[in-house]
Amino acid sequence: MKKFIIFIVIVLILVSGCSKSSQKVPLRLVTTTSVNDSGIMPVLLDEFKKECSIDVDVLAVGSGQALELARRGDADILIVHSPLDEEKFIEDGYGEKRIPFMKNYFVVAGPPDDLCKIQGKTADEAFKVIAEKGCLFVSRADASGTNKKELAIWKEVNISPDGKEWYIKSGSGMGASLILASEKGAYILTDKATFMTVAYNKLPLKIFVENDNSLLNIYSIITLNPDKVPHVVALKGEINDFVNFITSSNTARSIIEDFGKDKFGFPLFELLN
Amino acid sequence: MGIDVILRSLWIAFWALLFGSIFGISIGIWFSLKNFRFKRPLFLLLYLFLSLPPITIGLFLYLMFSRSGVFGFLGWLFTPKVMIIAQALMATPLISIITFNSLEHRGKKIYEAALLLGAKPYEIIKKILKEIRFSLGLAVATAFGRVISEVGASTLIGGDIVRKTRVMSTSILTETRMGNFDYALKQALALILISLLMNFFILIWQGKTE
Repeated sequence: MKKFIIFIVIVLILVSGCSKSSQKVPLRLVTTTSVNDSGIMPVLLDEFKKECSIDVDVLAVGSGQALELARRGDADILIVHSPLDEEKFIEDGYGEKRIPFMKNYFVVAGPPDDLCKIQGKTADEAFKVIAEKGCLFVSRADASGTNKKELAIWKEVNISPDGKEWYIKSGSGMGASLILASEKGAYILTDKATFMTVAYNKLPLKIFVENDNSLLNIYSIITLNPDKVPHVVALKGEINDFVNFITSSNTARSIIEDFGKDKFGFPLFELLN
Repeated sequence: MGIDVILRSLWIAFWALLFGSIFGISIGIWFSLKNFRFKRPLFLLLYLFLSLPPITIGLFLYLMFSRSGVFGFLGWLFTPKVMIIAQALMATPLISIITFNSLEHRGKKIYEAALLLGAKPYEIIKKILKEIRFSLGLAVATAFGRVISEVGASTLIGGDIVRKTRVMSTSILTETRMGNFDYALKQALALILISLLMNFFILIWQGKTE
């Protein structure tokens, strides 16, 4: 009899993909503004709640702040897109597992009349031209994944834009920075998902550089190392459920594959594998 | 749409103003009636808190209530509780200073007169409150305006979590960030209406009790 019950329980767990949850506090997912502002997170979380009856609180901040919050123990799980910082986070022992699971691309957008004529150039070339001609450029300047990517490109073309007249530091999220760029008639590096959600058909901004392989934008889910971050209160089982759901459940995969298709004609994110 | 956000804003502001009034009025009355050694430095401290930008209060509270901070074990960070604390900290100095200023010259007189008439302590406090109701109304209305529109600290320690800590001011910020001006404008309009109503009621109440 006992064996039979255990068997039933195991079967149920396998079927539902969820461990038995006795959740008291919601899981706290700290994610980047780009994922949250696109609107995909609520869709994923609703399905996750249906499947596993686990509540998730979403905190949307830049990747830099997300990692810092996690270091202080104020996050249970992370979704970020700043690969170098993530690797350091794992190396330093704060992160336990890091699973890249979806991607999209950064794009360079700017005023519709393309003052600096960067249309069709690669990202590196475009950045060089912008600096040479001194066209306005908006930087997030907030240690977010997008900001880190932008700084990496400047470094690659050997230009230090800091302090230049044409270099505007917004210090705020992707959406707010896009609005700033459109008001100033400035160029900006943005992830395509936020661009489509916030700017497409709403703001006078146009994409000029895209499909550049150097502009790959990879989102990873990261779990924390309880030895180094002992404050993680949420239960291990629920964290695993969430990771499994996001990275390997068919439900999540089809949401990610389809999200944005109805609105824009193409998905905002792509699966990694 | 957004009704829960409005109600949550009011709910948090209500508790913040309640605590802020209890502490603020007590401090104000105490300061006006008693002379003690550290009155001046304490008074300076109150004024310092009054001029403190809310975001600094938010930062202190964040560090204290972070899971690695002294009060981390409570698990209050990113809950309405810590938002109420932040807003109460903003309201208290304002209410106490206005209470004190309106009592500065009259407080002792009222107190002594009431004592002579044989009033009980709670009657004295009632009498004092009645005397300064106009200033108190002003104090609470100003404090309400301060806490309901505060956004920096609320975002930092509340986190703008949907269905949990999202309030009007933080939702306006987030939705504007997402280019959702429509929602942001509606919320802003609601915020203005609520502030108007609040001040309207206080005016009426002050007129009635005259």
